[in-house]
Amino acid sequence: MISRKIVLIGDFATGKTSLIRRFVDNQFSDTYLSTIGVKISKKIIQLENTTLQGMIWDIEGGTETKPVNKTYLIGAHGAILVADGTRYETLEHIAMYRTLLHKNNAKTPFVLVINKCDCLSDEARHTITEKATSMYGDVVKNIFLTSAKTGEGVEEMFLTIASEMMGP
Amino acid sequence: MQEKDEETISILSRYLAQIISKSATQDPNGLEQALQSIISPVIAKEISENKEKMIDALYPIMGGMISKYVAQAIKELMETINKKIEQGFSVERYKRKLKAKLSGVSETELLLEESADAHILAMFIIHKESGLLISEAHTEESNIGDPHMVASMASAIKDFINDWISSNKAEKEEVQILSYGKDTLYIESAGSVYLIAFLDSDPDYEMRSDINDFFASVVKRYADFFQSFNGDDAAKEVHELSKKMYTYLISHNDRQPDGNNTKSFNPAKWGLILLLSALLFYVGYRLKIYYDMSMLENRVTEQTGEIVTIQNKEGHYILKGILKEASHFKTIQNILSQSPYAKEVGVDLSLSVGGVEKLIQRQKKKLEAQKEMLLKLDNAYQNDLQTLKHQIVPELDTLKKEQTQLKKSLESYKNEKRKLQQLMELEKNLYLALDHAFANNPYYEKRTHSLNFAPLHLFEEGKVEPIGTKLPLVTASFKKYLHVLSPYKPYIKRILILSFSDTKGNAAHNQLLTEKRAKNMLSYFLKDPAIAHSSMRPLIQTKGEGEKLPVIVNGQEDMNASRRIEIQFTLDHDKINSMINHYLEKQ
Repeated sequence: MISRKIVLIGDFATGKTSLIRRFVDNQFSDTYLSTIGVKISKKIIQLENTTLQGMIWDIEGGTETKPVNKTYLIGAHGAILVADGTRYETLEHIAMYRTLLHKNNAKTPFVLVINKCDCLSDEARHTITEKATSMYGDVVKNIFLTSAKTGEGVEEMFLTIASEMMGP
Repeated sequence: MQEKDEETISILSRYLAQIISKSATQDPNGLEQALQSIISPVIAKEISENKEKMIDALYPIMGGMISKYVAQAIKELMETINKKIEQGFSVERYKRKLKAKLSGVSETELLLEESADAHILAMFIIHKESGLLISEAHTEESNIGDPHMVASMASAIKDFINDWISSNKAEKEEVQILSYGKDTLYIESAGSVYLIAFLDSDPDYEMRSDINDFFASVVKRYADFFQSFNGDDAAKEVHELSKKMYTYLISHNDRQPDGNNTKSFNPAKWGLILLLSALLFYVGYRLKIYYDMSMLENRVTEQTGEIVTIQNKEGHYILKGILKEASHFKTIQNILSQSPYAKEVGVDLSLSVGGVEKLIQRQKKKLEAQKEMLLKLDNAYQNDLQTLKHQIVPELDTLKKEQTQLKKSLESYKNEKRKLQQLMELEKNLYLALDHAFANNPYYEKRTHSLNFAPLHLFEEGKVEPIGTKLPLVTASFKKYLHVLSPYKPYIKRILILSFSDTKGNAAHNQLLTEKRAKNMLSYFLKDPAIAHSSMRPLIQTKGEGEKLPVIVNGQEDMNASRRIEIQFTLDHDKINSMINHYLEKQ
């Protein structure tokens, strides 16, 4: 079986741990879970032609005073950049995370995730998607609206990054 | 000459320092190589020739350095020992104390020994950048969990610490030892991978070197594979590595003093183990017996309510107790006989006073009941006997009578049969008796079974009196004749004394003459008391036959012989026949 390192990065409290919990255990806890440092999870992902063992690194969310530990990003085969749909600034910070990611892994594929979409109205969804596309449309192929709470877009998002990691 | 040299040296010294200083700035490598080729042999030669001098010269520098490393090593050792001592109340501490006492080796020495007893539980080779596990091997005792998760986490922790160290120090250093409790992770990096060895205690220098050597050999061989590792654990190199690591960690652990294979056989150790095993077995055996005996006691108490104890006296088990109830003796014997210790456990039971009284009372009652029953039985028996008597005695009397009757009948029958036999053979037996009795008597005629005294010439001519001298002979014969006939008396009709005469003279006279002679003869016989009183007397009759049957010899009458007496008898054939018929009819 082929193993791949997937990193989740994004601002503090954007819902990275909840997304992993939803994907890995298919469960969700309403209690806000803050990540400290890094937490490793494993998920066997069944793709169309192959099976992948995803080692998912849930990296502590960055803040203005404490940036993300870039060491954890080294060697990542794929990345999930997470923004909080209810906090616009977290979407803006995605550019910084992408730069950090590609500093040592220039070709690492990634997806952009706008989480907590269950808290957004249809209009807000439309607005934030447009903003994300306008900001990162030229560097990212896939932008997902996800909800760790409802599970919306989570499975698809993970399968997409898994497929991209495996290449064409 | 010496002065010139000193001058030259003085001039050169002035410029040499400047030349060296300039070369060090412009061509440091060239200067280094030039000096190395000169200085190294000189130093080597100097050390070889003046060792003590050189040591004295270098000690201030080297001594301090050596002291530093030695102090570091001792510090590490002390830390290990301190950790062991901290386990002051742990099981290991007491095990160590016991081992020290038994083996005679001090606890400190054992501690020192233990400090070098690190075992490798698992080995991981991890891709440095991604933190993905390339290959791993672990022992059965290890409890690593999911190796991929552990590899990633260890990698993350290592990265975190490295990152922290780098941010606080100018030089780039890498974490090598991570310890938690007794467990230690020894980390060694090389190229694109690093190795993590999971140990059960801190590795010493020698062990680290050994692991590093192994790791170096692995990196050397699989460098290309490591660089191009794509996360695929199906690659054959992954399995080869796993096998290599497993072999290494097993062989490494076996080399350790606590490993499964010790280097040398220690007879004292094995003797101690055997002794302890035997002791343990014995204690277990004794405990089992103690338990079984307790169970046996409980079973007795449960089933009888009696309190008993099983005591061990000089290797023999005795079941003791004072019973309240005598019947429990048997129950306890049954319980014992069914237990596997039936042969090993003896019985020493006694009966309490109350129990004895109860037993006596019960026996008394039992005896009384038996007595009563016996009396009833006796009465019944007597009644039956009386009934039987009444029934049997008459029948018995009847039977006896019948038996007597039968006996009589039988006797009678036999008697009659005998009589019949006698009757049928009477004549023949009589004749035989006569023949036998008179076999030598010249006057006995066998043909007629009569006595004929003709040859005796008993009468003279014309005389009625017999010749006296000849009479005794006739009387003796007649007496004997009567004696032989006497048993047959009932069947004899008569005994005739017949008298015959010669033919001379008158026939009538001769008739009278013979009648007289016969009577005279009888008279003469009756003079003998035996004849006179004989039972045969009534049967004796006389008869004169006259001259009817004279004795003829050679055609002429023997006159003397014709005057003769004959005695004969006549059987009562009618009576005999009548009796025979009578008996035959009865038969």
